[in-house]
Amino acid sequence: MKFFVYQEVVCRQIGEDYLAYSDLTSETISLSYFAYATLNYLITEPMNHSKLLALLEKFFNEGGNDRVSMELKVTLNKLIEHGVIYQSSEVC
Amino acid sequence: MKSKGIVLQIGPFTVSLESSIDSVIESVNKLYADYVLLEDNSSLFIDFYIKIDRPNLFRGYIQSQVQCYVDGKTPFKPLPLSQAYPFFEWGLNWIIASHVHYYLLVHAAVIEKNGDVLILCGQPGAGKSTLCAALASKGWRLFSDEMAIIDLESNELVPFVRPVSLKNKAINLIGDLSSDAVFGESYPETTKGTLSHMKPMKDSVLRGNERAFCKWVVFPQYKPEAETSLRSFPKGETVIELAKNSFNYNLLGKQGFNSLCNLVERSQCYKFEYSNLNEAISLFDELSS
Repeated sequence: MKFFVYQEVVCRQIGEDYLAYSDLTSETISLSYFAYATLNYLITEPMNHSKLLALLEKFFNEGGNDRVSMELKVTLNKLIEHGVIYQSSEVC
Repeated sequence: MKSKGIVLQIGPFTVSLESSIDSVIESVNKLYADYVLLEDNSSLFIDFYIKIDRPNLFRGYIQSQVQCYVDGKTPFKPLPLSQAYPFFEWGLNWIIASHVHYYLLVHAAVIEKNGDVLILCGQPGAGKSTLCAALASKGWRLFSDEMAIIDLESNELVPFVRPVSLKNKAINLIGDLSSDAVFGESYPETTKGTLSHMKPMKDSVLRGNERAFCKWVVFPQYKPEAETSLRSFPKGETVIELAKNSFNYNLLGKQGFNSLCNLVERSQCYKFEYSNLNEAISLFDELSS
């Protein structure tokens, strides 16, 4: 199963903050830097959990890999909940 | 204005107003005195037709009510006849907010100095109109006390200069602050309390076509006894707050998001608390110098 970003989603850095907007929900949400990085990886290429985790661990390893794994889980849930990404077995 | 009606160019909109009610005619003649009246002929494109008149024999004369007709339709319930002129202003606000989607519209007061725009955004009662009127009476150029009109392509603010709507204590506060301020009638017992309109300064009306870019986005909050304080507010939260106060952000989708982000990106963003208008004016004058 891979994670995909809805086509209707845009994200951008503004000042020192990060935002995403979904046309599906008309919602603007604030992102942490971790969530922004996650979303940008998925915009570049849909990927499964393990590949995404491996990429993020390279840059966010200060608290150890367990912490990155936990943060990724929370982030993915938040992005799904707000209509930013979805999970699918479809081939891209 | 005579009972036949007039055509006003108010910012980017051409508005036809017709009324046979004396109080409307007198208020428009006083508060819109510096506006150029347009010749209503067949070649003129009118964006909105507004008529303020008695609704019918029973409601109009027996109950002394007034109706606001928008392009011949009646989207509102009638109001007491004494509120005929404010009904025109409220009706015009409603028309713009619900029909104009080729601009991004945010509920905010907007003023300009030295080519830089200050957007004052906040909930009703936050003190944005009071602050806007105070600054406008002290040399700032009024753009609008009701809504920020943002060009989606250029990201410029578009002036929409109209009388400033002041409520309750703010009416006397501004009257005491500026001997030049000209007010229309007072309307007690509206849903917002006592209401009066301050005539826009002539310079603001004459420069009604001069757009400008935003430099500051401020969320003011009037609090009795509060110290004057201006503190930075994160840009991300500023976008979210402006979006919440927009009339058509959701309709505009990604275009609205990008427009708002571009505006905030170039602006300094603050939360502002005040209780003393003179201190507030000094602070914003200093910011603009």
